[in-house]
Amino acid sequence: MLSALKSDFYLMKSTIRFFLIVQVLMICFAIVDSSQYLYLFYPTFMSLVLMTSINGNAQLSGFYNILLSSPISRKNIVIGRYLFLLVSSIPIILLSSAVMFILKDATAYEAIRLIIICCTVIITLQSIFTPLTYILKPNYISLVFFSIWFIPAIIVMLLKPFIERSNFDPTNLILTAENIYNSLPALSIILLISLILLAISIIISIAVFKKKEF
Amino acid sequence: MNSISVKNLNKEFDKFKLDNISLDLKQGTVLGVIGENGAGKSTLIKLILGLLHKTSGEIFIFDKPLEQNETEIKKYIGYVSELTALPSDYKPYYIDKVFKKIYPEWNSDEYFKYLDKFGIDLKKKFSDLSRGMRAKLSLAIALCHNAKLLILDEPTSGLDPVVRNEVLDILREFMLDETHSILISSHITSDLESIADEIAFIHNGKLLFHQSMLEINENYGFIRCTNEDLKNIPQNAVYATRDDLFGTEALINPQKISTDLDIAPANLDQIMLFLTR
Repeated sequence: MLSALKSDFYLMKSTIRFFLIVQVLMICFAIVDSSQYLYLFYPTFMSLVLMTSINGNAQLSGFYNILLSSPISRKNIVIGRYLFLLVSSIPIILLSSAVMFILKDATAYEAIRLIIICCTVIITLQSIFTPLTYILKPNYISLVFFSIWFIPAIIVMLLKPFIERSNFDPTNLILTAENIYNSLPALSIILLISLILLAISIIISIAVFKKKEF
Repeated sequence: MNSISVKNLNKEFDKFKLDNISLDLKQGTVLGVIGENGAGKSTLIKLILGLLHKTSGEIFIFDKPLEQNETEIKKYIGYVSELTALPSDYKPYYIDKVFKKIYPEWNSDEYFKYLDKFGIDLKKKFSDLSRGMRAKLSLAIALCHNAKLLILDEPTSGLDPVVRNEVLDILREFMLDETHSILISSHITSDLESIADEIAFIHNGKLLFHQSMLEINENYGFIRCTNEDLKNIPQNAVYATRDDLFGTEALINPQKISTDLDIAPANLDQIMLFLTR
């Protein structure tokens, strides 16, 4: 499992290096702009890019053939992949939050809240989309990736006229979201749910990968 | 002891079927697999490695069923493919860091010794290595974890004669140990003639024959003659014929005829050409 993680690390080493350089720049922008959003948006985005590109990279290069002819089980390859994705993104979230706290751009409470929110987003997105990277062909994975960003926006745009016509009052919805946002226990429960989702996602990915042919 | 034993192996795709293949690779021998493009050689190899899932049949490696012992078995298999590729950014020294954790008997010293012998730069990206260097790197990976069985899918394809010969020398050196075996598929039949003890010929997903080189030399002969001469040869001694402007060529069984005609031993290329027409 750890060897699979290590092989993924070397597979994506140059990409990770590039992401880290960009993250340092983003932290600089965030300091200048005093923006909590800029501190943490990029690591979340980066984890998605890694997730969508790593499987395609391994498959297109033929690296899976080498890996699967070695004494490493398919199950461990999948678990190693999940570990890699978490290990490569969550420490950056922690680091960015620490910088934010040290530079007094956020209180300890705010930093912890943002860590929980970002980790929840990363874990949830990885849980949903990593099995897709095993199911779909590498070319379609990029399509899915762009869908993540554009389809919700398109849906909102399409629904907007209906919402306006129906006199829907979003105040209650916004209040509920704010209450959740300000409550650490509520956020922790959501994080816990995302971890359960992660476990289910791993089981699905292992089942898919075991059936895959190369 | 058999290094590989395949029994009634079937694999069905939409437009192709590997049909009821049975063959054994004995310990200490080299089995060459020949056949035209798309005959099923790579499919067979991928099934043996577990990269593809069989439709039916049995695969035993080192006399153990593959499915139940896959991880254990693969500790002692080295795999090299024409298509074996590392990600473009991968450097040879990454391989050592990753594979010493994967293979319990990975020998870093030996790996670096091979790289040095092959003149492979440790810090050069895989994408910057020549085709010959890539083939040698793949071989180095396959040879550095105490493999007892090498499975090679077109390892010399696209290599110049000098590098091909070097690769074959490495394989000969590997076979000095009697417990070692090699399964090798190749289009370059002259390579197989120089290294293989046995040949399995696959055509359209079916195993046409599996014979030792000695049997092949005894059972297959090549003659060039006139149509009249050919009529004097018993029909059951002729595998296939081919007419051209200058007469007739035939692949025959020399043991079944007594003739004054000049019978040359048929090489694997000729056997392939005649039997696949």
